[in-house]
Formats: sequence, structure tokens, C-alpha cells
Amino acid sequence: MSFLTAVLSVKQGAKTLLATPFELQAQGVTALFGPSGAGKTTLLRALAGLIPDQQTRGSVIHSQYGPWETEHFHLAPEKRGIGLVFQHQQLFPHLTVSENLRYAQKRQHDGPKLAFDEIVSIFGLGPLLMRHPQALSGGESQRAALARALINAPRLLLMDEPLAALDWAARTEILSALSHIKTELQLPMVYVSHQWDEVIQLADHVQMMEQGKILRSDPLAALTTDIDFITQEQRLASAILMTQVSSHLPDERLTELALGDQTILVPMITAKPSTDVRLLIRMLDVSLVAEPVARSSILNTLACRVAHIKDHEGAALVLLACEGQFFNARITARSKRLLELEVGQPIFAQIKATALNSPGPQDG
Amino acid sequence: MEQDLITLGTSIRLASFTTIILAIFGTPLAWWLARSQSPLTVLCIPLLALPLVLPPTVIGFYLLLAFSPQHFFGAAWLDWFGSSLAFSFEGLLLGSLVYSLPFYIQPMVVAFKAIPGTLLDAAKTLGAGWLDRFFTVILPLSKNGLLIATTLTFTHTLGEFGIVLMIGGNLPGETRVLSIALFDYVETLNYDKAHLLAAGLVGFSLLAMVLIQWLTKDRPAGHTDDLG
Repeated sequence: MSFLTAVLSVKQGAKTLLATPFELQAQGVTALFGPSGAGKTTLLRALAGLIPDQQTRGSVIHSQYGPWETEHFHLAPEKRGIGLVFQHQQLFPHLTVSENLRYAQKRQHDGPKLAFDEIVSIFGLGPLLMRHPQALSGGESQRAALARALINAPRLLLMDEPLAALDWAARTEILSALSHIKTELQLPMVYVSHQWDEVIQLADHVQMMEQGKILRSDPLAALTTDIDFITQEQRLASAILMTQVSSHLPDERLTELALGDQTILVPMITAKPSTDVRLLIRMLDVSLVAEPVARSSILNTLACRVAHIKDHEGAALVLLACEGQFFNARITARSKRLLELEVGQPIFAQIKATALNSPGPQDG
Repeated sequence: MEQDLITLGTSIRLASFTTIILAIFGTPLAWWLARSQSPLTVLCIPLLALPLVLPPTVIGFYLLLAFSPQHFFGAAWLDWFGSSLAFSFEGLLLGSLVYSLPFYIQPMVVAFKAIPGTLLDAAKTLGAGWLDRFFTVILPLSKNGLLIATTLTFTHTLGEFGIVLMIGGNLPGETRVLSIALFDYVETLNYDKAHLLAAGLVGFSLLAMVLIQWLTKDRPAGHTDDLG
């Protein structure tokens, strides 16, 4: 079900920045994925109504709220009820974090909303409320900017590479807060990124963009099982396994997740049994063994099959199929020889796994 | 002494009116110059800066011509208001607006240009209409520019001599301002009075500059940290 339909072309002088039909799902997170200069930002800005009239042609129609843009009509950005978060420099420097949030609260749109205090706690902003934006780190600024956009109760949240300027720790923290928001709010979101590992952690739907056009549009699940797609270079470093919570083991502070007929243990999370949980598997956290090791500090051993081997700079990238899904291991050429790896061969993967819908950053 | 107080009153009235009128009309003009991508701005910016480099007497000469009833503008004014612009307070005010315009516009353009577009986009998507954005984002962020622009306009209007001499003349209570009075005292060798006026103007200008310096000083970022 699509709720936003756009046919847009944006020109700057003689240069075409964007020429595409675009449809947005009413549910979940849609990732716009593609290289820099693909027109992702331009598409977001056009949806938000921020591109000068004379450069834009086409229409944006919202199934519920009517037209935002037609040949003869342009709805001002402030009336579209859109939340927009970009890379940096968006908090008002003359206001404290708290005043920035109140600014948004005073001008709320009519989208789904959470209480002020709840958003402050999800983004861990309590200790930062009295600060001015100049005194915040990059990660803190982005947390405050996301919180401000959500307190504004938008009908649609647009995020333009909100994590691009941040280090790994800050990104992980914010991604987990966003996953939490996603389960709490029925708020459609568009997430622009050129980082595949961000996309797989958050998106339900992926639209590939290149040279101002949408090349393809798929549910994420269809892409993570598409071997041709994931064997392309930059998508190998980390993968997502879709699992379900089967039970909690509070004594050991662990949660048992089901992946097909197999189980995976992760540090305890709060999701209820039978909730879908994404598991992020980093290539470097996976090691391969010919037979399961009885006593090991690594809890998880998954029975897999070698789906693809690719030699790469003295090492081997091994694509593993497990219960119909894929993830990767990077091993040395020597290990490959010792294990006598071949495509189709059964193998066991030992992994350290991190579950992704853990609650906000303050609970770690 | 009473003469001097009247002169001081005229000067302050002139400077105040000039500053207020420029704040009302100059601000949108400065915004347009700072943010518009229209090719017209390329022409407007040098044109508006002209009073900075032209000899004041040149501007005064053309204004005097324009004010004369032989000229279209002067004739129209006489028609509407029944009095001539030349050698009147209104004429002096019009002249002041012209020659003080760059002193107001330039700092405002600089201040407006320094506001990141991302902040305005953020305000728009948060639901702030243009008037709302102007008062809650643009104005607070150009506070320093506004302070500099109004102070420069005020003090500069107070001190202008050449143009005033050309178009205002020297009518007590109407067009006689401090700088002209000072000139008169020197001409008539009344140095005591001249000292009083000159020193007064120096003192006032110095005070204004110190005030600007103090008010626009960068406070260290996050000075409210200790509260959090």
C-alpha cells in the first residue's frame, strides 16, 4: 500500500538532478540507498517542498492529505507536516536543547506522537537539556535533532544521512534508538544513506537510487536473500539475519532467538517472545569450523552451507547460507586451504551476535 | 545654551527617525540582498554602497536638484504636502535615509548571509511560517548585526555634515544640527562652545562603540553547562 506518490523532475540550470517516479509505503522505514550524487538528498528536499518552485516539475500526492505539489500548486513546507533531519547544523544555536524541543512541541503537526519525557529518555537527552548546541558532541546533536523532529509529531519523517558524520559508537546508539521508535510509533520514515550496514539495520523497504532515478525497489528481506545482490563488494562487511525471540533466560541475562530450526543466544533484550528481531552479523565476528566445538567461549554455532567463495586481497570471503538467509565470513587463504572449502559444502559458523531492537541508549 | 539644546534635539530627532525608518524598510531589503539569487542584486549592491564612496557634496547637490520644484519629484512633493522639501526637516530626513542606507544595509546583509540555510529549512519543516521564522530564528540570530547596523546608522546620521549643508541649510529648530552648529562656532571663533559640542560628540560616539563591542562580544559556548 503506497500512501505517497511522486513524479518529480528537478533541474538546476541545464543539469537534471532528479527525474523519477517515486512511491512510498505507509508502513515502516524506506531506505533510499545509492552513491553520493545519486539525487537522494534532492528527492527528500523536493518531498519536503524545500526546492525553489522554478526548478521543480511534477507532482507529489499524499493519499490521505491530498496534493502537496502539482503543476500549479505548491504547498509550503511548513504545512506538509514533515519531519526532516540532516547531517549537521540544524539545532537553533540561540536556544538550549530543551528550548529547541519546546519549539517543535509548540508547533506540532498531527502525526503520531510520543510524550516529551519519553522521547527525552529514548534519546538519552536528560543531562543535555540545559546545554546550547555549541556544547554538544556530534552524536549528542544528532540525538537532539531526531528528538526535536519526533516531538514535532510529523506525518512522515525524512532523514538525510543523519549518522554520516558520526563515529561507530554514536551511530550504534542512535540506530538502536531509531529501531525502538520504529516499534513504538506508526510513523512512516524515509532514511537516506550510502552505508549498507545502516540500511540493513533499519529499513523494511529499500529503493536503490542512481543518477537521479530509482533503479529498483524491494522489501529488505528480498534483498538479504538475493545472492547476486549481496555478493557485490560493499554489502559483504555485515549482514542481517531475521530472527524471532523464542525465550528469555533472565538468570544468565541471555535471550534465545530462533533462526529457522536453529537457535542463537544474545545478551538479554526486552522484546517479547515471538517478536521479530534483526541480528547484525559482522563479517569479522564470524569464524568457521569443520565440526561443532563442544567447549568454547563462543556460544553460537550455526550449521551452514558454503554458498559462494571469493578470493580477496590474500583472504577469502565466504558467503554462508543458513536457513535460507545469508551472512559472510572473512578467513585467511590458509584457513580456506585447511578447511578445504568448496561451494555447497556444509560448514559450522561460530558467531558473536548483536541483537538490534534493544531499547534506547541509556539502557545500553 | 538653549539654542544648543534645540540643535541637539533636532539632531537626535533626525538620527532616531532615520534609524527607525531604515530598520523598517532596510531590513527586508537587506534580506533580499543577502538571500535572493536574482541577478538584480549584483546591480543593487554597488548602487546602495555608492554613498560610502561619493563625496557627500555630490549627493547633496543631486538631492537639492531633485527637491527643487522645477524637478518632477520636488514638484510632486509640493503638490501632495504643500511645502517644499529643500531646507526642511523632511528633506533632511530623506537625505539622511539615502546617505545612511549603506551603514544599515551592509551589517544586516553580512548578518543575514551568516545564517545557515539548514536552520531555516529546519524551522520550515517544524511548522514555522515566514513571520514566525523571522521573529524566532532570523532576528535572534542576527542580533549582533542589528545592533551594529542601528548604532552605526544613528551615530553616522548624527555626524554627517556635507549633505546637510547642501540640502538643509541652517534653520534653528528645523534643520540646524550639531555638526553645522559646530562649524558655525568655529567660523565665529567661539571656541568654548565648539569644544563643548566637539567633545560631546566624541564622548557619545566612543560610548556607542564601546557599547557595541561589549554587547556583541562572543560569550563562551555552553555557558549554562553547570546547570545540567
